[in-house]
Amino acid sequence: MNKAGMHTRPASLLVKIASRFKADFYIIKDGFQINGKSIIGVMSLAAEYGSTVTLTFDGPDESKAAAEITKFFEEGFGEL
Amino acid sequence: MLNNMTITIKEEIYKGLPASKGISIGKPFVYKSESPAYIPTDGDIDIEKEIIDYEQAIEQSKKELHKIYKLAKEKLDEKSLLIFEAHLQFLDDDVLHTQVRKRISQEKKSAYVVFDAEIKYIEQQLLLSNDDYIRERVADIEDVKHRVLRNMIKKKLFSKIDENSIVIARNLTPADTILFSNRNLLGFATDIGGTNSHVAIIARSLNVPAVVGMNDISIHISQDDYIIIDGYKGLVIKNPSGRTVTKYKNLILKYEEYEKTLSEVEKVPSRTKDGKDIKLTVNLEFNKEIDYILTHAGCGVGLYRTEHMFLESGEFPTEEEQYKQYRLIADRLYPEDAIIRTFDIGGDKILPESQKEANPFLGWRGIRICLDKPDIFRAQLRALLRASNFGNIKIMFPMITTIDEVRKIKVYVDEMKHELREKNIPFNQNIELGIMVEVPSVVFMPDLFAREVDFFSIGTNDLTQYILAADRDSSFVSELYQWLDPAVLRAIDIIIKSAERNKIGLNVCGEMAGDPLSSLLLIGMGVNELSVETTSFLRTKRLITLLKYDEAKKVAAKALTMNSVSEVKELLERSYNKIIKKIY
Repeated sequence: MNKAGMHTRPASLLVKIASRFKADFYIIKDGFQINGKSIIGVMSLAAEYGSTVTLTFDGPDESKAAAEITKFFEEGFGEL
Repeated sequence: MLNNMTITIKEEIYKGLPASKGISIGKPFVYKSESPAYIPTDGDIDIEKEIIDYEQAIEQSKKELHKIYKLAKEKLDEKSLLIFEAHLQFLDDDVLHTQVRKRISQEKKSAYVVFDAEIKYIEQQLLLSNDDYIRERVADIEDVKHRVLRNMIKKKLFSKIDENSIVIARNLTPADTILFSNRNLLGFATDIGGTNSHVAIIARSLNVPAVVGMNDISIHISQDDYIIIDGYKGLVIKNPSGRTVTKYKNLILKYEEYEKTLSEVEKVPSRTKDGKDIKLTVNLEFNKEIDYILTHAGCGVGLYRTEHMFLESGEFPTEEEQYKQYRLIADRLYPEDAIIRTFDIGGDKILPESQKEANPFLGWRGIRICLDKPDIFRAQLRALLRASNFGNIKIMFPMITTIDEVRKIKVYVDEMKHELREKNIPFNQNIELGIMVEVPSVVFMPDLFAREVDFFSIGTNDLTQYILAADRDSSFVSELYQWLDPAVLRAIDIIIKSAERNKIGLNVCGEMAGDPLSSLLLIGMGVNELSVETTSFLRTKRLITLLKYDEAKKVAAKALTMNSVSEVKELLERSYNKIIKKIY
């Protein structure tokens, strides 16, 4: 996670990106699975700096979705 | 042991600021607008209907947010815009909707209860976070939640209010007040607000008592109490004794008699004893007042507040809707004039909680919004010009601060006139344009403004608040907020003289015009046109017919030499009591 953690702004951007794909997108943290297209879900994940999450993608455009969303995570949610 | 118990319910008296005259006795309706009270649905839940209600409330909330977003877009920085987008995303969250729908069907609970519970659960999750920022975002979710719940409940809520009740609330937004105005209520009492807050103005125009600034009345009064509201002294009496009720019933009768004596002046011209004509007009709030004006007052309108159309529906009315409304006013009042003021809304009425300005009265409001939103302004000007063909409309602009604003306005008006001419749509080519004098900058260079416009209208409510730097809605500084303050009187004097020098029209349309002591003073200061609330019309007219201009002039000259509010008030009270006997 980037320094700021998962704030409204990056959460909002993440949902926006995920919603562009048909593939289901889930985020798993501490055993909880959260729908990555749900803003409330992503926010309640309340992921802080340094926490580890697992991302799953399932659907026709899953590899494209995975590539783009992983990039978004790696770049620190466009905040850096 | 013998127990001889008599239960006596103690009468309790609460004091606030008297904001609208009158007395009512009845049941309270305790209204919570910030977090609307849950109204249980009677009997079994109709699952399908609950789901439809839920979906409609979500759609309505989205529509509102889209409008706000569009309006505020250029005014917000990128970060704030994203918070807005997040609000909209909440409403687009299918996971949430699926969950709510599922719970409604499975638990057979109302949409309101399920949605409220679901959001509460989410908020709890967020509050567990170690991150301050995330925890603060709970406020955003609350904001959206209230919007949805409000929309879910609004129709249900307002249909549940007993017509003959006295509304008790922490605070009433202008939109709440307007919704209430369509019903025959007996009065309003609020914790917050000064004597010139919106609820006060509306209560006066509806002719029902109001007491504001009561601090905590909404906590003390419950649904099954019985209360008296005294709008003369600013009291709410909970569980009054038989003796108190009798006293107030007698007072009500006395006032009814007094009202009857006022009808004597209906057909009399508005002229002082020594023959000076004073043009008396009214501030029009609701269409139903037009009937009253035509049958009892027979006068023009000195102020029509168009923002009512906005506040009622929460969105700017279309050009056609406006045209219809302005035409109706122009047509029905003809041959009298109708001064129509362009939208005077503050950013506080448009923007959501998280985007509100710290000082809305010094912020984005009145003409500032209109000049920033040319489409809205153009539509309103076109509607006004088109309607001007059917009566005597004058256009007035609120919150004018600079000459540049006036010039920009005139460019827009000319542009709209040109457009209508091209299309052969008739309108009054010489329509008069005026400005509200309420920002002190106008007082410092009145002649420069006078050269640009056809008339001045002194808005004493805002002028007082800006000159004295005292929020008119704050009960903490209500002592300071006094339009009889010598500084305010001097400002008014400057404006009156400038209007005379430049031979332009002048009226006073604030609350001050309808205040008995002040109207006496204003006439003495040389004001020939007063616009008052319809409920003060006959009272003010009677005062005019009883006073001598020559004497009023002397009183005014003396008042202008004084240096404190208390001195001015004392002088005016003495002069007024010589003319009219007090009854309460």
